[in-house]
Amino acid sequence: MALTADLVWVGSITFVDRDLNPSTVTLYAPAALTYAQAQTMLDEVRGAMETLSDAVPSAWSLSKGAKDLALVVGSAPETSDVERKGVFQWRAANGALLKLEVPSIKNTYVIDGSNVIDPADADVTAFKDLMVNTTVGAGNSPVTYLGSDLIGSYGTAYKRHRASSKG
Amino acid sequence: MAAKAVVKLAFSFQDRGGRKALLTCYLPFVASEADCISFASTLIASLGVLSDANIIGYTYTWQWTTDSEIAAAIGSNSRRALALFYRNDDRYEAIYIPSANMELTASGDNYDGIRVNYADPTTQGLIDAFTATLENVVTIEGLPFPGVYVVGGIRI
Repeated sequence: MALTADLVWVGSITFVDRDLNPSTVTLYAPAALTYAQAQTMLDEVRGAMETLSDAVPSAWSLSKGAKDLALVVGSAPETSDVERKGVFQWRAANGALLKLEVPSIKNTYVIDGSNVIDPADADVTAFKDLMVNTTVGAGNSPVTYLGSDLIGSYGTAYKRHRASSKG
Repeated sequence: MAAKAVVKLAFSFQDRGGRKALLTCYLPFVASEADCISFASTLIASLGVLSDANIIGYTYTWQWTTDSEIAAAIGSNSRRALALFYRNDDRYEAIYIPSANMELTASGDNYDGIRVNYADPTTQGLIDAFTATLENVVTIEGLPFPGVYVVGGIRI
């Protein structure tokens, strides 16, 4: 697996009309732009669009990433199944929980005769710790969707099957 | 303008059958692009051990929402787009802006309400100002967005 950085930033601007019906415009900017430059581009375009529209922008976003451009579909192991999830949970500083479902959790981590993911396994422990203790940048570490810092893992991870394209 | 509290990181998985799934987690909104890439690399290393699906990509997204009351103009319609066409020497591209301001198409002739009245100085000024903001815009393939305005009109 080798991931290649995207060629472009993806900017998205959602307008809503009087009746709050949404419509979204997608724009692209060169990946060579810094985040600040891409944000400036998005702000300027959005501002100019407002003069041409009688709807109003309600939300906008800026996104980038990486993809495996050499991927061959079917190259994953026979045992792979993205509907087999490994469900992990963490406690947050505000008392909330964060749940992540790892698609296609390897069955070798599941204790035979149960759906429990082995809490003593070093790989499992490392993943749980990673979400709590990884420091990236100036004091940043993983948080809940509301921005509350993760302070510890919660409960025992388990396997469950769930059809989904989202996680 | 209000920023969301977090940067959203979404990781895409694909199994042998070609089915896809996402895992989404979050970093504080102040995380830089380098922070996002660094954390994504760390997490992919761990996820790649735990999962036997292919990790086929990831994205990191900053989101904002308006923090003022939304009150679009009476008569605004998200389905009525303003289509603006641009060209350069070898390509044409279009951009579609939701809910066209119909004053841009006021011409008093057969194209009234249909085509952008670029002959009107006010309209021309607005279109030119918008065009100027496209300087750093590219196509999805990364090619420069054509910079010469050709024509505009209403698309329902």
